[in-house]
Amino acid sequence: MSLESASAHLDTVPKLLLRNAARYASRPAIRHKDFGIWQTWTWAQMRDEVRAFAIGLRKLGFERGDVVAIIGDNRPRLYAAIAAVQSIGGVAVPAYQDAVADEMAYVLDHAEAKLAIVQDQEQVDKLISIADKLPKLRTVIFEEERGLAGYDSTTLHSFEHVQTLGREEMRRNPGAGGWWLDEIARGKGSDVSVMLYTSGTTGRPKGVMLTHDNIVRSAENGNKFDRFTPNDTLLAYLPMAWVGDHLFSYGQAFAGAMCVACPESPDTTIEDRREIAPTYFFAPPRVFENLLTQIMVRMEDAGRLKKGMFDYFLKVAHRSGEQILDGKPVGVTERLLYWLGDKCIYAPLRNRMGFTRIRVAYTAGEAIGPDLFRFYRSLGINLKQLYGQTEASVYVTLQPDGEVYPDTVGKPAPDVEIKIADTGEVLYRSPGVFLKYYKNEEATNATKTPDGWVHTGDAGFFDQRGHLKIIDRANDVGRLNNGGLFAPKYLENRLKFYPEIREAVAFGQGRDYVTMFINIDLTSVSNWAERNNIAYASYQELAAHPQVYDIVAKRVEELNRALADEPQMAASQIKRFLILHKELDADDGELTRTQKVRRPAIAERYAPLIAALYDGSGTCHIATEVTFEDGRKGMVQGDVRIVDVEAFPARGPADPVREAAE
Amino acid sequence: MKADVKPKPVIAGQGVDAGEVLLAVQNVSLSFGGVRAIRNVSFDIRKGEIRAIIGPNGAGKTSMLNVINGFYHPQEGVITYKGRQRSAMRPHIAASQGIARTFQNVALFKGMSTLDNIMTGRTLKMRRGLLAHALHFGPAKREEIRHRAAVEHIIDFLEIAHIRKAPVGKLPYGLQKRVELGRALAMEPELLLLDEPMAGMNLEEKQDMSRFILTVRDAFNTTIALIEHDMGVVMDLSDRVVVLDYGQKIADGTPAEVQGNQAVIDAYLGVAH
Repeated sequence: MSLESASAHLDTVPKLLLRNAARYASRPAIRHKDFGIWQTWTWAQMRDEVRAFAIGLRKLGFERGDVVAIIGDNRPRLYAAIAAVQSIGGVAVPAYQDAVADEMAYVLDHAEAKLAIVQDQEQVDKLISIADKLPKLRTVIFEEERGLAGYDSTTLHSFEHVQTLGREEMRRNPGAGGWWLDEIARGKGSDVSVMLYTSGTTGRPKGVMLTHDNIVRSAENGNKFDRFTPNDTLLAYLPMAWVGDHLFSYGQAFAGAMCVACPESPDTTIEDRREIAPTYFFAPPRVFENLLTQIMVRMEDAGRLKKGMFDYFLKVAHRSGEQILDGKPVGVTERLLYWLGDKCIYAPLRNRMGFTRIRVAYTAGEAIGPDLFRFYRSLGINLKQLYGQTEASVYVTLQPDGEVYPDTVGKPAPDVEIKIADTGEVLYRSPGVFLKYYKNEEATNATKTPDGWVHTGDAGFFDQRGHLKIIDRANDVGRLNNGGLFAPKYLENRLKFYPEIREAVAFGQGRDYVTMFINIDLTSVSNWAERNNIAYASYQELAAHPQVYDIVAKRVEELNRALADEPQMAASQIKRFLILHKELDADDGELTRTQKVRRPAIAERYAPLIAALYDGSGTCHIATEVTFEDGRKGMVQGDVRIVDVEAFPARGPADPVREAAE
Repeated sequence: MKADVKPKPVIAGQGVDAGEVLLAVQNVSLSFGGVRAIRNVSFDIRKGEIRAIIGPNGAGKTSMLNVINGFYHPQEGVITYKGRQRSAMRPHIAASQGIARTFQNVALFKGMSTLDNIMTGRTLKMRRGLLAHALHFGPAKREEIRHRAAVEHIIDFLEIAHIRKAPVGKLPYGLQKRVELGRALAMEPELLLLDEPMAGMNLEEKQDMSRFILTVRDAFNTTIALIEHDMGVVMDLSDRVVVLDYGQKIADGTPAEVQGNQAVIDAYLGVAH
């Protein structure tokens, strides 16, 4: 089914909706598990729901150019709301639903949202609590009525009520449907369709303005690259405010007439994925990691026969699974063994994880551990990496089928040009490049050159195969006092590949040597503690346990040994580390909402610990303020032990300057 | 998307208007051999209110609930429910009259799933026989679908979709309590008796449970009598409070009235009797 030719003039998402409703009228557009049953809207129903809601919005006084905030879990009605807003010339601003009230107030105020379409009482309450900071916000529309019966109904409407307004208008006024089609026809590809606020590792979030052209072109390129058809299904479970979800579950789904499935609730995602068995799946490495941890924990409790088979066939998969997936030659016996393993182990595992029908899976956002990556690929799951940014409407590079390497992020995506600056920074230019940051010319000028090149802020290089390798944030790559290269993220990611370590923060810029903060992974370490009869009462106690320290020290030593083999990195072996007494948390401003480390905030909060890492002391007392989910604050304090680790002499050609300049 | 599965909202309590007395306990006494668990207690529960029964350990609170729900038979006194004086009482009769309860120690079928446990709450509403349900055809099938839809509403309401298929024995205590509330709600009760619904819960779970209880009253139009030890919860939730001590009623009134009552303060702080 070729969609490209016909969609040449379809330059906005609402126009794609009309095409889908005409051509794929009875095919499923979106599903949602509600009251235990998967409920489906066909593309024709989708159009009707969108139309009724759009006309209802008009009745509530909506005007072209109005900005509408969308807040909630992935729900068909919220996706329909985006389409409805765009169909009548509005701009959608999906916001992170788990943001605390203050963060949300900033985004809605900055975006000058006049309307908010939210999921439930929780979000309505949040908006009411910040209403005095949002003078422009006139109307709130909610999707789930539960608990909202007694609320003020002059500014608050249910989604159904707005649709009823629209349907009544269509009954009374035969021209309403035509008006809606005219409004869609008035839309141009160059119109701003959506503003996505990037969580940003520093400062306030910035509103990235994307046009219909950005979204539609990127979506079509993405669909072409992986040959998506209307038979493909994906699961929408990542925040709607994140560009990936917007492009995959909205842009690409509409462009390719694919079916999107929304889980019943965030807690049921894994079960729901198993039931839907998507053919296309995106997840940050963390999700794949958790999935593997769960399987491994389960297998620890399995019977001896099962465990034996599991171990044996995983070895077979490790040997030849990837070659078979990539269509490379593999011996007959090995193929037979793999086939047997597929029947006994791989297929049931894939089923457990909801990957029975998986055709393409992507991961991005953070580096993924090579072992983790290979594990999934060896089971026959076509897991690939991509490199993207909100400012690029996602795609910068993609790994083509058959050219998948764990240490690269792939080749330039279709229509994307990439160049590497002298500083090592990666720049790109593509049809997906954003218009500008909303009301932030300074940031726009700093990021986007007049001829359309965008600074990624990431340092990287192309390897011999023409694949892009990202090593770190360009700003974060620094030097040790001895001149050695210091790429903190590179070190942290290598440590985070170990199951016991959830988060790591490296220090070394302008210092004599490298040190680390470490967060243990509670799931994995508590399971280990249980198996070894180690009692603990709290995260803090477990983190400070001497045996836990021993395990982590061994891991750090392993990393040091590996670093000694890498000429550029040998100098950044870790001399000292400590295990933090609390988990780094987005609510405390230590991580971004997408779980990335906020270095300046951490350096400030834990200044005494950093000082202790460099003054040779063995312990350090620290008191930290923590914020609970409901906004209350408390204190966590304790003594944190600092441990020295052995460093190894560098091997191989030690010429960091030449290597770095390559 | 929800329209086609939404059953009629559950409205119980025909025959008694809001604010009127739904259940009255008059001069009830109960003793086990020489132990006098309840001595000459009278109070009433009005339609649509949340009525708390509080008191120190051993005050006779659970016995009182057991009397209301027909498990114990008082030696003296009269219980009037929906204007009718009750004679011989059995728990299953109470259930069929619209009185549901949860227990101090969770009493669920541990090996069964959340869904099945809540489904058992619909038993009294099932009209088709064992054979028809075993064969699962025609009216029996339609009936099951209808009941399943009602159960799904409760699952959605109590936010336990993620444990729908999980055996309840493996669930944490707070969730088991929620499932038990779900099973009681499945009966579409007119009067819901909750025996320490928040026992052993952390703050967040208590907040969730309080929210559910309030919504049950408002959305399902259910009258609620609850025993609870957390005074903060009792004072926030309930419309009226009756206080028992050593089997006797020592106070009855709004939370504020009860809080200031000297007898109540004495009972809780311990005064020489």
